[in-house]
Amino acid sequence: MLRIENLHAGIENKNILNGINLTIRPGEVHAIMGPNGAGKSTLSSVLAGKNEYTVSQGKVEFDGKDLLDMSPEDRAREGLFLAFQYPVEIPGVSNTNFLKTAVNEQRKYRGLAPMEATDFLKFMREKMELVEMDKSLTSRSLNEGFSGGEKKRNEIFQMAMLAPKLAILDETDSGLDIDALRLVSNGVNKLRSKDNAFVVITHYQRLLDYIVPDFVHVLYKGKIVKSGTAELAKELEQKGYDWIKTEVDTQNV
Amino acid sequence: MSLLQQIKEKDLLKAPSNALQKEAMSTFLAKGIPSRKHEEWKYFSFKNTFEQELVWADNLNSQPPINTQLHAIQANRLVFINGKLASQYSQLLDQIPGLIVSSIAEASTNHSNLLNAYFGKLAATTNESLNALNTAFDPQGSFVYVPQGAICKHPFFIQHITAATEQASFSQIRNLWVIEANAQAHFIESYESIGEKLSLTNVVSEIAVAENAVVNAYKLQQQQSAAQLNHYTQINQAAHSNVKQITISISGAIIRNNLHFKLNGTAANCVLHGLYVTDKKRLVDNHTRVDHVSPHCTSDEKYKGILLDESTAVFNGKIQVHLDAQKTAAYQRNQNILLSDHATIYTKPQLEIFADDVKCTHGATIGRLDEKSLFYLRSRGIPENVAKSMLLKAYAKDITDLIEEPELTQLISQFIEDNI
Repeated sequence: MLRIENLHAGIENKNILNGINLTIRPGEVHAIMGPNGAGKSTLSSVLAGKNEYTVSQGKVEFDGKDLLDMSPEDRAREGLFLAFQYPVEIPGVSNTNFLKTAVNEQRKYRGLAPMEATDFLKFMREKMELVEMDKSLTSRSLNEGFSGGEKKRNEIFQMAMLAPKLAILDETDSGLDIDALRLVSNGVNKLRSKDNAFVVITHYQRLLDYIVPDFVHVLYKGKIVKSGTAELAKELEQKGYDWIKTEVDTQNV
Repeated sequence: MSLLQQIKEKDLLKAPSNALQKEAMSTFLAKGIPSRKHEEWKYFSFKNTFEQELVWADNLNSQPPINTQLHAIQANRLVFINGKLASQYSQLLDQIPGLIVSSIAEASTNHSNLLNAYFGKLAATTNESLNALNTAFDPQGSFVYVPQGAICKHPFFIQHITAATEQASFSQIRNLWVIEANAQAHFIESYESIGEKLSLTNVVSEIAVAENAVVNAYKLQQQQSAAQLNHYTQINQAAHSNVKQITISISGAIIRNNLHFKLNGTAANCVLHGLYVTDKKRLVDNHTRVDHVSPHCTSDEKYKGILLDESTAVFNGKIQVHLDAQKTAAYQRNQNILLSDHATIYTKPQLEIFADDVKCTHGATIGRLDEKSLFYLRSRGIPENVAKSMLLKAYAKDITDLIEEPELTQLISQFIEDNI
């Protein structure tokens, strides 16, 4: 589904990603972990198409198409979804109107007719129940005045509405208390299927107790330096990142 | 013959009996068209327009088909084409004893005492030569008199159309609205033009609001690409009155607004909000002035702009708090979004405060569309142009939300959607 080959990228002449290789198949959940500054958020931004990042080398294929060549909206319409670490507040744009526009734009791209208002509301209610989203949030402006937990849940709710092939969760667990974490994880688990895939970016192993990954990768200095199963995450939680840093840094000497 | 020359000749043909007109004409001739050397006219001048061969619209006989989109609004309606009342489009829904809705020409015959009690008494002519020019000739336009205590159920929709289909044209419009004590009335004004030829429309509005009266007025300026509009509005408020004036300027070559409020009685409140959208090489210039003459009054001013291409906008907001106007609360904001590197905004707040117990704030911002918000919307599959128009509509929302006429709000959002 997604094939990243030798990806180098950076911002303002500063290299952050130094040759990422990663292949993701349908039905898989990949966790990407790593210390601060390793390039985790840069990777998600580059994949979603944030224009302040420049790619200097490498390629990314999404379902056989050149992902890096697409506009952010086309990436979304091809089935990529980024759950933001810091979702923005947009006063004056209602949550419902925003979702309706997004859903119908994606349908248009796939040659489908826009959803009727009543069908849309029914669909929205279903998904709201699925991710246990509070009804009152949908009538408000997009993320405006939402708590940190509500914003993250709104991201998962949007994901449920848009049903992407590949979802990247960028530190969705940061700033969440245990209850919110469970709600968010339950939402993700309900959306897992053999046809879609997830990339879960996180600092902590905690989230991975709820969303159990098939693969865990450690990102350090812009490269994946270690890959393993869920066991690797547990090992990291116990030992921290220092042993990997030392291992990598000594190899490089 | 140039417009200025025509004006002088037309003046000679007039009966010299009207003292007000005579004085106004001599003021106009003495002051001339304000040039860019004039402090209040720094960014453009109508001088060049007066040099052109514009035909005085009195001499045009055309009755072109007009835009009736806003006729969907259930309203007491007056439609003027080049200043002349088009009675086939006009209607009166509210039957209230003492309510007068007519052309100024008709009022000068049927209600001359009432008309003369207000006409030319509100809008200054001594320093405003274009007002003087407007006053110097027989007035054409609307007269609305809302008697004491009358609650008008339907809005007054006043549509002014300048037709410049065959020839470049000049027209003058005058509005006089009197809202007596405890009365309530809503107004919708639309300034439109037909035809691609150059036109200049010179408008003076006088609005007298008596004690405890409530007035909501929405002004929509949507003219053709070669049309120029100069609109001077003076609103005088007595004690405990409330006025909300929303000015929406969305198309036309040049729009110059002078909106002046005078808060003459205690605890009078005014809201003056505006939205301007400019593109190509167009210009919108909003000069506002609020005179806080009496104590305990409030003024709430907010103007928002969206500028594209090589367009220019001017905002000059003057608030004058007079010596006796203690406990004044005056707020002023001007916000601008520039969507092009070649668009220009000149914004200037001007506060002159002579009382010592007042609360006044002002602020101006100039910025771009928020990149993060734009990316967020796009990352959900919403194309860039749709995302931009969503954000701009959201930005304009706190102005458009104040308009309690859904048809009008719809027209404005449609305009933003179609043009950006």
